This record gives sequence, structure tokens and C-alpha cells, in this order.
Amino acid sequence: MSTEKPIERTARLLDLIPYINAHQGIHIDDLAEEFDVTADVIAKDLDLLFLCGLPSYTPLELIDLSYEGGYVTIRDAQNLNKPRRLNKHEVSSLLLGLSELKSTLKEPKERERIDELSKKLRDLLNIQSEQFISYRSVDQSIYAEILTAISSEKAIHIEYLSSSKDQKSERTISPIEVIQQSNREHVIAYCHVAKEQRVFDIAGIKKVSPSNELYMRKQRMASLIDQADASVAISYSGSGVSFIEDNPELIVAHDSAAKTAIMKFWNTEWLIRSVMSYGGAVTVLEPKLVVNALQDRVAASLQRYTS
Amino acid sequence: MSDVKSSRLINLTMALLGKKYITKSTIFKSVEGYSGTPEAMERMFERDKTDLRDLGITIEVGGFDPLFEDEPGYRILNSDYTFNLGDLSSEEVGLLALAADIWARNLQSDSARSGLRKIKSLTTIDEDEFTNRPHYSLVEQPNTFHDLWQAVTNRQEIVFDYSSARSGTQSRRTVHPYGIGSWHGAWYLVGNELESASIKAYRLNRIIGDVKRSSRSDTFAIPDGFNVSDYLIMTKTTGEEPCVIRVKKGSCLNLRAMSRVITENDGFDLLEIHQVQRAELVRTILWSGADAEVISPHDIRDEIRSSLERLLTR
Repeated sequence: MSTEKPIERTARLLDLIPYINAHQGIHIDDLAEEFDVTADVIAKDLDLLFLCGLPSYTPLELIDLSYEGGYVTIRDAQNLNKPRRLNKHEVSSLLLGLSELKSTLKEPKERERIDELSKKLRDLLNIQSEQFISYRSVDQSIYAEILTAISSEKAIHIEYLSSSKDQKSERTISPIEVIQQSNREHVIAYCHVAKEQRVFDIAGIKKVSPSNELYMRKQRMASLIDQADASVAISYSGSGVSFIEDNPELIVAHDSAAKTAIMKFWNTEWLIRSVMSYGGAVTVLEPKLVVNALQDRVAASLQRYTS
Repeated sequence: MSDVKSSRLINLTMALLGKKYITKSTIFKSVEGYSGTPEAMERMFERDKTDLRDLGITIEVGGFDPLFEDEPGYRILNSDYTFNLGDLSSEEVGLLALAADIWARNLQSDSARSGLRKIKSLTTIDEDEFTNRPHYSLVEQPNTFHDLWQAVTNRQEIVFDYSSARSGTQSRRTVHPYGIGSWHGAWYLVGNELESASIKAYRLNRIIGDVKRSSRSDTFAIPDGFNVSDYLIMTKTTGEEPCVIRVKKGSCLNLRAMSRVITENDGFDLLEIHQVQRAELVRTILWSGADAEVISPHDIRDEIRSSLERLLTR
């Protein structure tokens, strides 16, 4: 702490007073944690503040604080009772956090509240533009319930829309771990219906409720990706490159000049639907079986628009 | 040393926060911590003013008083020193706490936390109400993220090598960064590219190597009314006209989840989808294959049809 510059210490001192003022009776250890220093440093700060005040420094003009038994109280903060204004880094990191948070909240009222808060923060610095936006398909409350189930080792009952099949199912799962795959949050869980481990796209989990079934504690097996034994050759153009970028764990070989790649997959239905959703920016070259299945599907879909 | 200097800065701030301007000679006479020769105090005061400015505190000069032989006065306006967010409910502070927490590990910066701390210092708030809420945290960001966020905040010009997805070629770009967006966990930068004199979006993982930031800040202005989502095609929403889709019974669960009105018919259902992200909708329709047929609007129907024609290779 001996290397701390006076200006850094002054910044903390100026922030400490209003913080204590709004948290009367706070313990010195909690202050130390909040300001990320030791309790000893806070004690020295308080000793110094005790002697600061307004000219002519009579007891009535000094900052009046006390810390008895480690609990800190300010009786008179003089004119330092308000925090320093937020700087641009503080405003911008909170705005960025709010936009990310908003993307995970599905409740319209909460989303509105976030917009209001963002506007209040932008107004502080007179910012006339919207610099941050986030979009995610994960619902924060569902994500949080899954995390809670993992840490408390509780089985949960879910309603699930599969990302490869157009099917809704209800099942009980014992969630094991949250992973990032194809740019989306997935949960690895023991599925009580299939009686084996499965990976679920969290965005597809539409409802979570508690289950009475016992939590199945199973060792996490090797990644499902490793079990993908089939492979496919594709080419892409334009926006199709994001099919490669979004599935880095499936890429076996990638030639960015020729715009071709070999990818692993474990579910033909998933592959066909994914390729179709790119609307022609991704083309399957091999194997023939997949090419034919895809072409049959495309032809049937196109018939809706031509007949 | 730190004690003497820090307490003098605190005393000076408090003295300047008064209602009236005070002159330098008054400061030297009455503010604790000033001592020595007039020249020494003069130097001390100049350094202290710089330090307070670095702490974001604005010192006003003015209030010439004929009695003091035109000696300037100094003060810190209370409205400049602090800030006001109006009445904040504990729920709002809770949302800000969640927002700050998202970045706690990701931004390599304490600014979200210190900002939250200042907000929590504005007034007494019952914090127990929101501490139970589970926190959501972001997965790791690309390593250029920190530099780009700093550049956007400081308005610094940046230079980087970028690999274009369409042409597959790599080239150097000089950009005035305006904003940052994320879509399904993929990050984008939006900025004014000097080479092409146009505002463009860049996907972060297509930036090659490091991002160089200019040493000077505030070198450009962001146009009023700029909105980052205007430049991120995938965040564009559909127009006023609802999208009407004819779907097979029991199918297209993803589209059903997006729709507001479902009319049942014999053999099929009609879905009405309002104001959703257009790119996401088009993808989901294509994903549904022959189970879905767009009835209106025409532009989406045409887009699906031409996408399917492109997909047909035999």
C-alpha cells in the first residue's frame, strides 16, 4: 500500500464519506471489501478524514465520524455527503451491462425499467446516441434456475423445444454443467427419460419447475462433440461464414480461401435444418445421402410457393 | 507524504464546495495544509488544481471582486461535483447491481463496480431486497474486447486488420468506433471507417491481431441520434405489417412461440407474428421447411422463395 499515490487515496477518501453516509453503522470489514483494500487501510483513511473539514476547523466544521467496535458512523459529513459524479468509464460500463442484462430479461416491465435507467445514465453525460445493444435468446430467470439446480444438486422438470427436431417434450433432468457451444449457452444434464446424458440448448427450455425425483449424480462423460462420428463437406458464401464461426468445435478442416470446410455432426436432422436456415449461403457437398435428403426437403418446401 | 497531500486535497475540495468564490489568498490563509513561501504555495495550488481535475472535479474561476484588486475566485459547483438520478427504487439499484456484475470479470476494469458504489452512495437503499437474485455472468469475450470498449468510451481512433467475410481478403481499417453490439454471444463493433468514409459493422472475431488505439481521446464526435442497432442487420425488426404464416398442425413450435395470434383451421393453423427480429424470423421459417408457408408480407414470402431456389442445386 506504500506505493499508493496520494491522488488514488484522495479518490477513495472522497468516495468513502458518502458511502458511509448512506450505509450508517457499516462494519469496517465490509467497507474494506467494497473498496477492495484491507481493513487496516480503511482505519487509516478514517483517521485522516477525522481531521479534515472546513476552514476554520473547529469541531463544528470537521467531518464527524466514529468507529466503535468496528462499526462506522458519520454524524456530520459536512459538504462531502454526496458522491463524485460518475465518469465516462463508469457510465459506459453500466450502460453495456444494462444492455446485456436486458437481453436476458423477458419480462416487459423489467425491460422498460432498464431502458429508463439507461436513459438516466446517458442524460448524465448528455449522450445523444445509443452505443450498445445486446440480443440473446436465453431467459435470465430460466438460466438462473438451472445454475441453482446445478449448485444445489436438485433434479428439475423442464418443457423443452428441441433445436434439431420440431418437437416439444417434458422431462426431468439432473443438470450437471453449463457450457458455451455454437455461441449459445447449453446445459449438459442427465436425462431421466432417455436414461443417459444429453445436451440441451438453454434457449429451448421454456419452463422449469422443481421435481421430486432424485438428483442423478453421474460423472460427466466425454463431450458429445467427441461422439459425433459422421462428417460432412460444405462450401459457403457471404453470410454462410457464420455457420463456420458459430460452430468452431465441429470444424475438422477449414479452407478460408476456397470457402470450404469439413465438419463433424451427430444429428442429420440438425444439419439439414441448420443448412436450410442459411437460405443457400451454405451448401452441402458430401455425403450424397445428406445432399439428397436436403434436396428432397428443399423441393417439398419450394412446392408451397410454386404450386 | 500521502497523508499530508491527501488531507490537503480533501480540505481544498471542501473549501471550494462553498456557495461563494474564494480567492487564492484566502485559500492560502485559511485552508489547512498550505504553508511555506508564497511561491511554494503557488506551485502547490497549481498541482492540487490539476489533481482535482484528474479526479473529475471541475473548478470554476470567476467572481472578480473589486475589493480584492481583481484577484480571481475559485469554486466547485455542487451540481458539477455530484450527480442526480432522481428517485431510485431498490429494484432499480438491484438491476444496476446485476448489470455491474455482468462485467465484473469481463471488462478488466473496476469502473462498473465503482459506478455502482457511487450510485449506492446517493441515498439509503434497502439492499437486502435484491441480493437474493441469481446473477448472470458472461462467458469469455474476445481479447480485443477490452481495447474496443476503451476506444468507444474514450472516442479514440483505432487501426486494425480485418478479414472480410464476403471477399475473404484481409485489409487494414482505420475506424472511429461508435458502438458495440452482441447478438447471440457474437460481438460486433460499429464505427465510421475512414478508408471508405462510411459507417460499418465488424464482427470481433474477424479482427486479426491487436487493435491499436490512438493516444489522443475525444478526437471525433458521434452523430446525434446514432443508434448502433441501425447498423446491425440482424437486430432489425419486421415492419408494422404482421407476418402471417400457414403452418401444419402440431408443427413449427418455434414459430408458434414467436406468434401472438393463432387461428385454427382444418388441417392447418394461421400464425400472426408481430415485430420480431427479421433475420431470426426468416431463419426460423427456413428451418421449419415444408411445414411453414409465408402468406404475407410479400417481401418475406419472396425472400423465403428465393432462398429455397438458391438451396435447390439439382
